[in-house]
Amino acid sequence: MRCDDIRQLLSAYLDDQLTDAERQSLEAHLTKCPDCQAELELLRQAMALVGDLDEVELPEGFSRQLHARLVAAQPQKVSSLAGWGQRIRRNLGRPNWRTLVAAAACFILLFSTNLVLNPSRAAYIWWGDQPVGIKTEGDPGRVMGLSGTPDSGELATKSSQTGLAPGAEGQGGGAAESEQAESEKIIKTATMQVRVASMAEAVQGVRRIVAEAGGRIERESIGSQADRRSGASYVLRIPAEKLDPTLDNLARLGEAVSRSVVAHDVTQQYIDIRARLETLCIQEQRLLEIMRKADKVEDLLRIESELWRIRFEIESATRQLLYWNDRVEMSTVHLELEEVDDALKIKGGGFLGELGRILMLNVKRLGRLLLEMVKFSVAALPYLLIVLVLWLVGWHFWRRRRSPAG
Amino acid sequence: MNVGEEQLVARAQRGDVAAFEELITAYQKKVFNLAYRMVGNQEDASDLAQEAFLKAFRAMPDFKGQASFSTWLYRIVSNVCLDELRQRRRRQTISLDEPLQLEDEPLPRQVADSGDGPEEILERREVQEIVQQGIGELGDDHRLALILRELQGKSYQEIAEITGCNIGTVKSRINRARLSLKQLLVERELLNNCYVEINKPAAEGGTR
Repeated sequence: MRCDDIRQLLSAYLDDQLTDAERQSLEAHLTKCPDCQAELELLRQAMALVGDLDEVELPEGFSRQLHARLVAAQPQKVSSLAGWGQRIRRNLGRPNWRTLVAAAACFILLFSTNLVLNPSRAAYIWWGDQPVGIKTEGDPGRVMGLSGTPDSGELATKSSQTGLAPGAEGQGGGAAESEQAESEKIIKTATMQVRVASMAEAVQGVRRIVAEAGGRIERESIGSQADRRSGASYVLRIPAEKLDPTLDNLARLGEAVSRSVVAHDVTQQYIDIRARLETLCIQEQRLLEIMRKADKVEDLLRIESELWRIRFEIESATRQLLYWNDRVEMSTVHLELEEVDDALKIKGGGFLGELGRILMLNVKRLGRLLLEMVKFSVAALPYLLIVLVLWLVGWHFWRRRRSPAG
Repeated sequence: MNVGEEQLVARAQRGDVAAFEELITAYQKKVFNLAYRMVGNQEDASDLAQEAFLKAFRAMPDFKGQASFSTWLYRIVSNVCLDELRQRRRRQTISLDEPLQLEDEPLPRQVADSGDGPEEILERREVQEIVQQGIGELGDDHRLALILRELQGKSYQEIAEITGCNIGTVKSRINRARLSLKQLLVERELLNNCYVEINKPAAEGGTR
């Protein structure tokens, strides 16, 4: 055996913990190796020094003090309920500040994970919005220039008259043209987002403005959004010529975040369909005349079926024209209202004012965040219960391992 | 466990302070000494010993009599000491500017009278101080194993039960503790110089 191996055995040799074989080879080595002998002697001496350490007497009053503490720790005769509490407390151990900090950290981690997973709730720290420009999409020239360029064609239209009499009972072409029919057919759709301080006031304002413009509200939905701010969304129909002033009025309800108008020119399609309608009407007249002259049942049936087909096409073309007319006359406005925190009501004050607003707002949001935390902890209770049970079980086993079960 | 101890255990488990005190009479001094050698000063040792006894008293209902009461008690004491040392180290890493406090306290004030003259006592004190310092420089687990073996006279089996390790680990801990302590004492010139001289070339020259 090498000296290194021998030296690992010396300690056990001192305590007589070697197997016979180990002891024999060690003793054989020692007789040959003075180094290892010296090493063993050193170990012996060192341990002799350790063993020579004096036993220290108990400090004065040790037993007395211990007695007092034992008596204080003596379990009182307690009701079974309190006994249960005591047992739970003993089982839980006394949670020290480290456990508490760890628990709090876990809670915050869970909570923030949840915030990240629900992005709508994530925006709790707010340091002001980026300035938003108001943009106008589409072709502004067209949007603004509703100048009523006369329609070039001689083509007559039935437009609204056709609508009143869908059957088109032979009123023929060349009917009176309305002014509108001659102009360009441009459908304008506006989208606007407005931040308002008070939702209730804004809702009243929208209704008033729409009524003044002679428009109507097609859809109105007011309610809370996912991130708990209240908001409203509208689909408004506003007479085309009053669109821009109305948008201006709506913007004055609060702060317009975005505003866009898209103009869609359908003039060409409109003319095409109108021309087709014209042809279909003439065809219809002819078929009617032929039918009057026909006397064979077979012919009659064939004309009849052809007539049906043409009437169906007339109807669908008429509907399309009516739809376009409606869209052109009344522009559609998609309006989104969003209520913002009160702090935003206070405007101005320069940079300091803005800082103040930001601070106020975040204090409010912090309050909301705390409320969210309370709600979250209640929501997490079922999971916490599972964790608690696991912890108790884990603690039980851990303690089993650390201290003898008896 | 004899019948008398069994009865005492049963009474102590019901919260009988007197029975518990009787049960631990034989261990008070040993436990205090174990704590003292672990932490190196009397005040802390006294606190730790009391804490350990209190813990044991509270945990009495959990004592099922599978191990001996002594082993069970020693296990609690060991854990209390190791926890304290761990916490102490954590505190030290936090307060870096606080000077590392080695045992500046003079040796045990109340030593048993060994019947030596004043000079011998003084020398003994110095030697003991150095040995205690050396023990203090060992790792916690090694120190515990060494103290249990050398100062408390526990067998390897008992140490294994107290520390919750297997015998192989105990063997290796004691071995390493002894080797390190020997080395420390050689460096502090407490051990026979002649052997040191012999030992040196061997240590420098490797295994041969």
